[in-house]
Amino acid sequence: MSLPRFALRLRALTTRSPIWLTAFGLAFLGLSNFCAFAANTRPNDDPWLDVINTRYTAASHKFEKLAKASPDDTRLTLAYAASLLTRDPMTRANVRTSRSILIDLLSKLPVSETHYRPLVLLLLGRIDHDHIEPVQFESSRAFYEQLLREYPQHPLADQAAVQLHLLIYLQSPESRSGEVVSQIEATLPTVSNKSHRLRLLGLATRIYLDRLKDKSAALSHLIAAQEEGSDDKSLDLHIAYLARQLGRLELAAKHYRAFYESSPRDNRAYTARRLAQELEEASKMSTAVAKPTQP
Amino acid sequence: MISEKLRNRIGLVALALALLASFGTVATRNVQSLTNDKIEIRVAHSELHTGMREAFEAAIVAYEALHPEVRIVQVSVPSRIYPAWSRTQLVSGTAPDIMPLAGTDIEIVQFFQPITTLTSAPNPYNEGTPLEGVAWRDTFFDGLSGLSDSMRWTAPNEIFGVILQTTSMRLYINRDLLLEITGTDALPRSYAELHALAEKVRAYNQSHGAHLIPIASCKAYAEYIFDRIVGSQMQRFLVDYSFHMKSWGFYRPMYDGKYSYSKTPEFVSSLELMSEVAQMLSPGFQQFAPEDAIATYLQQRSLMLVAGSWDYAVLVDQVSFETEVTPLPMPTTDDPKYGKFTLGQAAEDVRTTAALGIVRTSPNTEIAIDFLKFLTSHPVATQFSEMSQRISTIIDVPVPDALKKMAPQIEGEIPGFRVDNFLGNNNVRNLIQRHIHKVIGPSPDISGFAETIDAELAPNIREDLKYYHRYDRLNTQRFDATIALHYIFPEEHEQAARTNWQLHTEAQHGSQSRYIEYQHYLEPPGE
Repeated sequence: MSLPRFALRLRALTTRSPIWLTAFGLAFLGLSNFCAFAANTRPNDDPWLDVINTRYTAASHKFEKLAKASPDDTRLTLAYAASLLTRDPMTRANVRTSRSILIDLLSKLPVSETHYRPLVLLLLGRIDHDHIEPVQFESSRAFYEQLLREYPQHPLADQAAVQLHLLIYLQSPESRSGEVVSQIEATLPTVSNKSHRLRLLGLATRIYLDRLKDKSAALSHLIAAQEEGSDDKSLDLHIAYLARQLGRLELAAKHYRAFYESSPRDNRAYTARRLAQELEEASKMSTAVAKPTQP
Repeated sequence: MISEKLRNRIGLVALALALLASFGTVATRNVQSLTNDKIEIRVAHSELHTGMREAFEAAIVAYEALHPEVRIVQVSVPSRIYPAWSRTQLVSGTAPDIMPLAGTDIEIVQFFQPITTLTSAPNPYNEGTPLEGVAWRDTFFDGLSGLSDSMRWTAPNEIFGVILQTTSMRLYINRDLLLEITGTDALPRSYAELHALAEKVRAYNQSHGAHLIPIASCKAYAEYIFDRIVGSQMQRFLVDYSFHMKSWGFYRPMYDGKYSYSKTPEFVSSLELMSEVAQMLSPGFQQFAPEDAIATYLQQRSLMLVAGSWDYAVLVDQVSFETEVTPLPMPTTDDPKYGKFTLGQAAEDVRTTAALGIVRTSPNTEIAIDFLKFLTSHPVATQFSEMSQRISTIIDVPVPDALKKMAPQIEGEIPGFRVDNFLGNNNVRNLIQRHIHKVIGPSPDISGFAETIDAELAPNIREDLKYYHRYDRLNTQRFDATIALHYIFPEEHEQAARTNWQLHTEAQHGSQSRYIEYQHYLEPPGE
């Protein structure tokens, strides 16, 4: 049928019945919407793009296909195992599958492999620590310690160190708090990442305060955190508060003042400045009483 | 017959035009993206009130004049649909480069880029202004501490965006009525004077057969009144018992009964003050919306109103009577009844609006950051404030004349906190809401309220802790995948620069530390 004849037929049809007109209209609109949809939709087979866009479940399904298609690709296999830990719905079966893939990888990767193997160890530690109930304390600890032992300089070793101490803290009764904090203090010099060192110092501070009720030790850890270069400005308030409770008025005044000077626009700055002034005066008075002028 | 043909033809023509327009839109969009060599940045916001879009547009025009290679597109989305819209955009990877910082703190970490390190350097667009050489973060009235505080658990000390504007609440007083009732136009400067004024209104009602309400109010605005006045009773308490002077972390001593509603003097005083304040407000204020409170004031059925700086134009410019505006007074330290626990007039807890951050998927992060610096520079913020008639968050930016009385007072003692809403999640809040009528109702029974809450608080705290524990444990688990996938992200991938596994470890430690703390409380580890 030639185009003019088709046009004439169409015209006749639509003139005869409004229903046909409506149907054609809807068809046109559908076609235009489809075109718009097609223009906007690019098929996404890239699981890494899903990772960046936090579509972990979609990424996990794609990693699964890719990993099964390329079983020797360590990155894809590891990505599949890791993504199973956040794939919805989160199930025990997913965790079990992830763990068995990681165990298999661990047996295949030589110790000389320094990129993926440390991550495999870390993930195995994390699974036994936080994804399985009850916590598999001994095996989780063993994985973390293996990572620390085999790759002490690796960037993931710092994460393993923090996780190891969080695990120990999680499982330790209050009576063993002294041991926990001693272990943290022994580990600190080996941790190179600043934020991880600060996290361990924070953990030690909390144990001293909440469990051991040792404000002096907590205070010295807070000061250490500040010397480490923490940019948490409220550390000054915490130091000042503990120093005030310990009667170290000058130290308290110094840190209230430091807070006021570093955060002049914080709504606690005015109170911090007033407290600093009051403590400085109290400190001077106590010094004057302690050292009476000689006759 | 003719008219039917005509109708059909009109229909056909309309359909053809619609079809052409659809094709045209799609085609030009694609052609534009292919042929336009300008870098395009999209800025989304949901601030649609008068002047805001114009202020954004003026800033965009000025920026494009400085940077001809950049094209900035403003995407304004009504606030009602913004949550659904933003989620769709973020999850589908089609989000604009700059968006309002919204969502949970976990979502903010996932979707937005931290800009913490950048905020320590001066904003280059402040050269030649009073803020030249000042660290970018210190050019904001609060040093951006409000934003970093809100992320303290998930990404401590990280800053994910900037804020453009502040709002404040004020006490509006009908001056004509004030003169008639008191014979003077002296404004209340302390809570005691405010309370005395409310008593005069009651006396006036009795002597004149009137039905004036001292302070017109509604549920939302009453919250601010209670925050400001009742919070005063916990100011000293915060200095004495909270190292960071915030009301965070009190669930333990409350659970243990160290502090209680019936025995801790500051709590008792707070409840008494709350009850007293509630008697000054519109009866049944909890059922009212802001429009109801404003209508009551405009119809001169109340002497006073506590409302927002955004209500100023309606309340002052469009009424037949004269209105005075003043900050809401708090109890002073020499107040015979409520002075004992207060530190005096507090710094205003400044509320901010228009917080903007840079989306992780933005392909032009550097330009997006540069535009935020431009937007928050002293000269642009000044113009923005004038056009939008809002108070800028940038220090030293002049407050528009009409808003001088609205500028937040940031010099003052810590604000304190309210004892009826500082603790827990749904269980504790529901418990308090079920019984709060005994405090703010017309026939108060404060000791009855306190005893009931004390008796039922511990199990409700426990239920809330279980919820927090589940939430933080789940997040901790999910972070394992995030950390691992960012760690092994292919370096050759075009999105590789947007990975940061270290940042996710810090966020994981935050939620992990919290859930361990809850777990120790719920199930202490055995020997």
